[in-house]
Amino acid sequence: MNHAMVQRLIYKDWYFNRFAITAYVAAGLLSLVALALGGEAGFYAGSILLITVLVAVGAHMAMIAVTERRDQTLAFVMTLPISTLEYTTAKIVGNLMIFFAAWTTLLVGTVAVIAGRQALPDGLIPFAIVVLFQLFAGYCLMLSVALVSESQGWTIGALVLGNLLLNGVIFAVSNAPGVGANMKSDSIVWSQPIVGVLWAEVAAILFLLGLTFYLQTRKTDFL
Amino acid sequence: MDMHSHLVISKADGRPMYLQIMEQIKQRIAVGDWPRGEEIPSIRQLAVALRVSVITVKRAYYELEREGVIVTQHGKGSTVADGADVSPRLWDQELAQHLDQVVRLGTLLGLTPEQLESRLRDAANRFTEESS
Amino acid sequence: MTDLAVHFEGVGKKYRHFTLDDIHLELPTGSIMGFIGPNGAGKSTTIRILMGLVHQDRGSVRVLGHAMPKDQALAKQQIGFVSEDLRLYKTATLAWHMGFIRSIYPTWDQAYAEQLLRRFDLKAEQRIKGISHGQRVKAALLLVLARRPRLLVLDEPTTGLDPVARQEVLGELMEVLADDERTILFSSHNTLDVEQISDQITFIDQGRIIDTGDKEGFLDRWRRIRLDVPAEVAPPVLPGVMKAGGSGRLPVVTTNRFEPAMAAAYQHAGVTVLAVEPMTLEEIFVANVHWRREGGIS
Repeated sequence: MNHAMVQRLIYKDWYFNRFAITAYVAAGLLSLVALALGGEAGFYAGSILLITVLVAVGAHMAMIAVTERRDQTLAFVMTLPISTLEYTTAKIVGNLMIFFAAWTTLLVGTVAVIAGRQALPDGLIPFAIVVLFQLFAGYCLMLSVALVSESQGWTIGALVLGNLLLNGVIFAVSNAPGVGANMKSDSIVWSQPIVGVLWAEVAAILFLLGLTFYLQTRKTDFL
Repeated sequence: MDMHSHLVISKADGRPMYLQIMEQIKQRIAVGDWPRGEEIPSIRQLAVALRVSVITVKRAYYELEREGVIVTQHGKGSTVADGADVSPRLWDQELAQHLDQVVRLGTLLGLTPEQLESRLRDAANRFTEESS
Repeated sequence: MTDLAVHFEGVGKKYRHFTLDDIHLELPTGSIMGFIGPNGAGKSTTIRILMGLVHQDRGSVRVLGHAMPKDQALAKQQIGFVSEDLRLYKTATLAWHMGFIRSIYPTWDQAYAEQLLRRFDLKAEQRIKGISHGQRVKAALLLVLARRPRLLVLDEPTTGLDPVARQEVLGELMEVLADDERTILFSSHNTLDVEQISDQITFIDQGRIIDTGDKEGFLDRWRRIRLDVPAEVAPPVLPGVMKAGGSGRLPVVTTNRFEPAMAAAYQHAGVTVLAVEPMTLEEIFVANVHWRREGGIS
């Protein structure tokens, strides 16, 4: 694996999306401030903004693969001295890193805010983590579909599906037996439904990423 | 000495390119621009300068060597042959081409070889009269 | 013993509406091959397979000694590719692209790149979005020429260029061949250019290679013959000759294996040979396709 080339490809993607990335970073910081300092309203506003940023970053970065095929710069990249494996690695790693930065911020910020503020029961934390991992899984779905299909239509479909699954998980988990009560209390409880869903989400993330690599290396047409 | 810049290939000329190249090289030699014994550009050098394929220049050089106009030493390049006897051959070829033309036209007109001969004699006589 | 810069053996690729079939191609190092074919003949597909942009269904492809697409990363270190299918990044400048390519290829020659900027009349600081088609082609060529790759693969490099730019490009391509270790494969509709600078010619039509060989050989073998056939005479049928036009009394035929003996054969049969004419590469190609599609070629 030519690490230098992978790195260059990643920097190239970041360079071409530098304005968007800066905007997302700014919005992310803004929402953190709202989370930490604002009252009840601040928490809701901050978390909604942060989730929006997360979804937007995910969609934007995933779309890079689609636009590369549409603008025909994919061919330009594939004439560089790289293999399909290196291309896929650069796309996945470059994308993931941006998303992961935003996601980790949200994770840490959310846990800190919930733990730090009296108004928010600590029992929310496991639930929040499930939601965050679901967001991650939804993003991986979108990224995989974007890379493999290189189609705008399919990627948007994946976005919609991810959104539906997110709402589904939120509903199912918060209504699962025992979970609802724990969410309102101040004790952090890792109940069966919570842990079960978490494992499923992690497995989905790993599966999607692995599947993407596999399907990409089997591709026979880059033009 | 920048020898190759003097050659110019005409695209409008109907003849094969290798023949044009041969003719121009022979003209250079006949006129003295390319002296006998002097090294001439390599096949590749000339191809690049003329923007003509290497294979065409190679063919020109091959034919020139067969005619004894140039000499190629393997791995060392080509030089103008010492005994390069160019002028008569150049004109001789041209004469042969023109004669073929004359015969063809004569056939089209339905002239016999005797009639053609007589026309040639007339033309030669006219030429002698006009130049004296 | 020249090695082959490009070697295709029995290469095939099947699409829904088009099949590339049994492609054999041999391009010796140090030579330049012109690839001629009608639109949709398979030129672009063959070239894409060469570059590893499309993987073949059948057959072996070796480029600069590397198997494609397996070792494409290695091969592409030394290949420069320019094609209409390839686009540069619209929002970036030519200068950005030059810097990007320079950071990847150690063979980049900055002085030569600047020389090409002048020769091709390009501005480095201009964004790709704003420039004309001809400028884009020249920019892509610059990016490829300046790193001096051992193999240049060009899909229609002079199409859409004005005559001055075309001459510049042809000049630069010939300069590449001054080094006998460097090779060029280019496809073009501009048969005059192909005829002028190519060593090897390959004709492709309907997904198959219909003829390949060295250029001088083509120009030697093909002739157009104008005949005068008197009413009572039956013209002899000679091998490798096909009717190309003209009327019953004055037919015109083309042949792909001309010999002076042919003229004699006609005369002998009472047919007058009015003219034996050489053919341009374009005329040869059109005749070749015509023959093949009429099922007459051997």
